[in-house]
Amino acid sequence: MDTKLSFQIDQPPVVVVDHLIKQFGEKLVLNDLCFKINPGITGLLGPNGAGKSTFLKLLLGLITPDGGSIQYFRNGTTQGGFSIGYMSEAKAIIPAMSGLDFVSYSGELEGLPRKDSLRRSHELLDCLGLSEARYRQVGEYSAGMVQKVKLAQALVHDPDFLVLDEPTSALDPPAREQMLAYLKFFAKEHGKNILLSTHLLEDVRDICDFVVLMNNGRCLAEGKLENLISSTDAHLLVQIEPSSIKLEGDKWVEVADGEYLVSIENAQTLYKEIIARGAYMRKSRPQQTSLEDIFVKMVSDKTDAK
Amino acid sequence: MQNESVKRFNLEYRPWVGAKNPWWYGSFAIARESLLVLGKRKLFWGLYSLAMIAFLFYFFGQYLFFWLAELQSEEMVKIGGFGRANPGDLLQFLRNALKMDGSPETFRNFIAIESRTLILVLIFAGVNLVGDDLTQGTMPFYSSRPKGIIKYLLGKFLAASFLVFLLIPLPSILLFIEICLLDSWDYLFGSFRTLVGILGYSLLINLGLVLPFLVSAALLRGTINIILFWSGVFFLVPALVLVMVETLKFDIAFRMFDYWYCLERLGEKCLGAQPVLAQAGGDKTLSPWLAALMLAVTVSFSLAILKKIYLTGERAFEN
Repeated sequence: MDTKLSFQIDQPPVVVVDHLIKQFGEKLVLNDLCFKINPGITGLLGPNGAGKSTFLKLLLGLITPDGGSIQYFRNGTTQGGFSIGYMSEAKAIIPAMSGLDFVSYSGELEGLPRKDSLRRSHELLDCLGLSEARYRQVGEYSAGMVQKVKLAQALVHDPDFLVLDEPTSALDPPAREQMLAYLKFFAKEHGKNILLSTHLLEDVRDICDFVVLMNNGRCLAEGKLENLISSTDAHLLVQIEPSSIKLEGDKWVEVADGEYLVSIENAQTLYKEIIARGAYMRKSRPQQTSLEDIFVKMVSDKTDAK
Repeated sequence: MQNESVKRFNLEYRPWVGAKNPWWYGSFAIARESLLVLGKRKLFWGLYSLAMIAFLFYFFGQYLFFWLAELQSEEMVKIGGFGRANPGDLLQFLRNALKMDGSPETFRNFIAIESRTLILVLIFAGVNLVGDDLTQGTMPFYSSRPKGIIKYLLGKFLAASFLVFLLIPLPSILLFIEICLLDSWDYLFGSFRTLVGILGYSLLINLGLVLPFLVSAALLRGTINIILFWSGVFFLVPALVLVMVETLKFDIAFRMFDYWYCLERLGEKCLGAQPVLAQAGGDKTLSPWLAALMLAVTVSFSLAILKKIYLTGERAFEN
């Protein structure tokens, strides 16, 4: 049974994934995948083997689905002209080309006239802080510069939708922050819709408006990040005295000596147990649920259920 | 610092407004960049020079014969201890022996020599144009775009076809024009079929070599693999077939497995040239139909694989 967690969004979606199925031989990689990508920045999360890469290939039209469909919306309609900029996780550069030629070449491949492509490449590289290095071969670039030039090639044709596969991987903290700032800026100032596929939950927490959580080829949860966080069971951290008394039970977890983590709904049972054992509650405070907690919980829940 | 760079970005980023080119336009960009990459390699220019040596030999050889013919007198000249001969007859004999007389055989021989170098150039190009994209992980750059794979294959095909054009039809047509200028314009009208034959033969070589080279580069990937494969096709298999047909007296039809020989037979047909007789097989030559069948099978097979590569997206090109 599909127990997907989802939230109603008021804006029309950019991409609608409808009962998508993809099978490689015997292996069902995407199993009736359904979700919507809304305007803004959407984080695509999932453990290894969740089907993220296969979904991205389907999204880019590199492979065809065995069932279901993906619909792309531009200005609320599916009528033509939808363009995607893709930044691959793989190196995907031409080392012998200069940064300028590489970005300009990318523009031409997307259909831009050569002159326009060259002009935009100059602008983009300048904006991304690569103006000094634009004539150097891409093969000589540092990891941070490579990520920037890859972002530039994804943007050169001014796409409606950016698909970024691990854009901050291999970046040092300042470069990561700068990359995220650029992405945020694009989404907020230029209305770019971005799908960010990443393993780094911090990236999602820092810049994403929406999140799609995948596991085993299915969507476990989708919606606004804050809704997702608030929807999950809130927990209390309860400290008891004396700490030597051990409370046995499967509805709470002892996290330290005399400290128990319990969900709100099971708190009453814990209190009764404390009284029954002759202890008293010294302190009780709500425990902040992080994206990491949600991710681990949802993925492990589904894996257990499986 | 971070905010500053973003602010700067805000000032300079502009949405693009304009009409996009049709999708196939990107293939020309791929072909252009591929040729530029090749042009940066010294080995390419070395191989190209090798091909040009044959061209220059034919070009100046023909010129020399015409020039000597202008200089000759009616007097008989002494040839060592072999008596006397008319220089005109001697020149004609040499021209016929070397086939530098503007006949279909001239172009057949010239294209045969050029094609040997073309194979080396195509192996080199295959490694550089396709092999490097696979080994350096560039494929997602191409395949992630609309019609990316077909655009890529078309672009590489155009680039390789341009190399064929540089090495086969272009020098052949220059030789043809040279003969027209040295001889008379009657040669143009008299040998028009040869001119059409040059173009037809070049087209066959283009289809017959470029498509399989593209497929082999996509599937075999590594430089060594590609070299070994084509060495097998153009040296090992022909040697085996020759032994089978000429020493073991197998049927001449077995020569259809010598792919290069098949192309030459079809080239002879295009040019209207006399076939090169099999050495021990007397006057037996491979039927052009069998040669055409072999070419058709190879081209169809190559297209089928390319289609599969295209349909399965990036599976064959994936890193």
